[in-house]
Amino acid sequence: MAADTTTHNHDGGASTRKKIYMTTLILSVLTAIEFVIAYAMGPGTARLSIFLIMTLIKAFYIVSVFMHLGSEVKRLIWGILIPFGFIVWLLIALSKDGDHYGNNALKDANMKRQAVESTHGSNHGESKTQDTPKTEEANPSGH
Amino acid sequence: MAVSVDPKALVEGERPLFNVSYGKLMMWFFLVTDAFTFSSFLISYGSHRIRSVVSGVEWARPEEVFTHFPVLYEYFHIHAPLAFVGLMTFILIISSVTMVLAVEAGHRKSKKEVEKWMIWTIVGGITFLLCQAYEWYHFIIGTEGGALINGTLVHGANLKINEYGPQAFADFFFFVTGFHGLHVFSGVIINIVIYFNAALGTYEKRGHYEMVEKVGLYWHFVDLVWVFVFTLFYLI
Repeated sequence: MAADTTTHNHDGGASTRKKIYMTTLILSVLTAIEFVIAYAMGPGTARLSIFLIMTLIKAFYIVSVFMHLGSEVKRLIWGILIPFGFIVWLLIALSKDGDHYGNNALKDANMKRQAVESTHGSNHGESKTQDTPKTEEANPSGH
Repeated sequence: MAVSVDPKALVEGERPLFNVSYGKLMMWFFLVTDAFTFSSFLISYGSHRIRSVVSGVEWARPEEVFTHFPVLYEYFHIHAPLAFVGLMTFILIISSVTMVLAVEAGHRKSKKEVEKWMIWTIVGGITFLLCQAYEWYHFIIGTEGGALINGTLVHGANLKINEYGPQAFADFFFFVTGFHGLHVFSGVIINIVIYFNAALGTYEKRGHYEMVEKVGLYWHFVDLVWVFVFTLFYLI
C-alpha cells in the first residue's frame, strides 16, 4: 500500500478489500462449479434450475458488493429492483409464446403430412399400408 | 467517496431522495434500461429456442460449437468444449475485481493505486475483446467438415447460413455477444479516459474520485450481463 494514503476509514479500507476478495473467491468458485456441471450432468430441468440459481447468486454478489447496491438506501434498492418485475412477465409471456408457436408449427406439419398421405392413397387406390414418415419426400416420384 | 449528505438536513427535499449523487443515480437509470435491452435479447432467444425444440427442430449444441482453445487447437488439435468461454468469463470477473479495487483506492484518494488498478482493468477488457475476436473467427469460418443443409455443404455461420443448427442460433449469437462486445469496447474506452483523468490529477484537484465509481458501475454491469450470457447462451 502506498504511503500517500489519506485514510478516511479507520482501517484504511482493509475490511472493504477483504470483502472484495471474498466475493472474488465466491464468483470464481461458482463459475468453476458451473463449468464442471456442464460437463458432468446431462441436460434437463435439474441442470437448468441449478444453472439459473447459481447465476442469480452470482448476479446478487456482483450487484450487491461490486456495484455497492447492498449498501445504498432501501428506496434506491427497491426502485431498481421492482422494474424487473416486467422482465419476469416478459420471460413468462415469451416462453408461453414460443411454446404455442412451436406446437402450432408441429400441428401444421402433421396436418400437411396427413393430407399428402391421403391424396397419395386415393390417387393410386392403395390402402394405407405404408406408414413411412418420409411421405413428403416420396411424393414427387408418385406424381 | 459516497455523496456527502448533511445528516442534519431533515427537511424533505434538502436531501437527495435516494441518498446518491445525481450522476450515480443517472448511471443507475441508464443501467436499468440497458438491462431491459439485454433481457429482451436473451428472453427472445429463449422464446425462439423453445419454439424450435417444441416444433421438433433440434437446436444447436453450444458445447459442440465452442470447442476452440488457443494453442491447444492450433498445435495439438485438442477440442476443449466451453473451456475458452469459461476463461473469458473468468477474465471479465477479474477485471471487475480490479475495477472495484480502483474504486476502493479512490475512496482513500490514493492516486497511484487508482492508476494501477485502472490499468489492470483496461488490460482485462482488451484481453476479453481479443478472446471474443478469436471465438467469432472460429464461429464464422466453421468446421473443416461443415454441414449439409438442403443439399449444399455449408461451412461456419453468418446471418444467412449456419452449419451448427437453426439460423436463429447464429443470428442471436452475433447480436447478443456483439452487443455485449460493443459494451465492453465502449467500457474500455471510458476506462482509458478515466485512467488519464486520474493520472493527470483531475480528480485529485476535484477532491474526490466519484467518476471512478460511476464508470465502475458501468463496468460491473458489463460483467453482470456476461454472467447471464454465459449461462443462458453457452451452458444451457
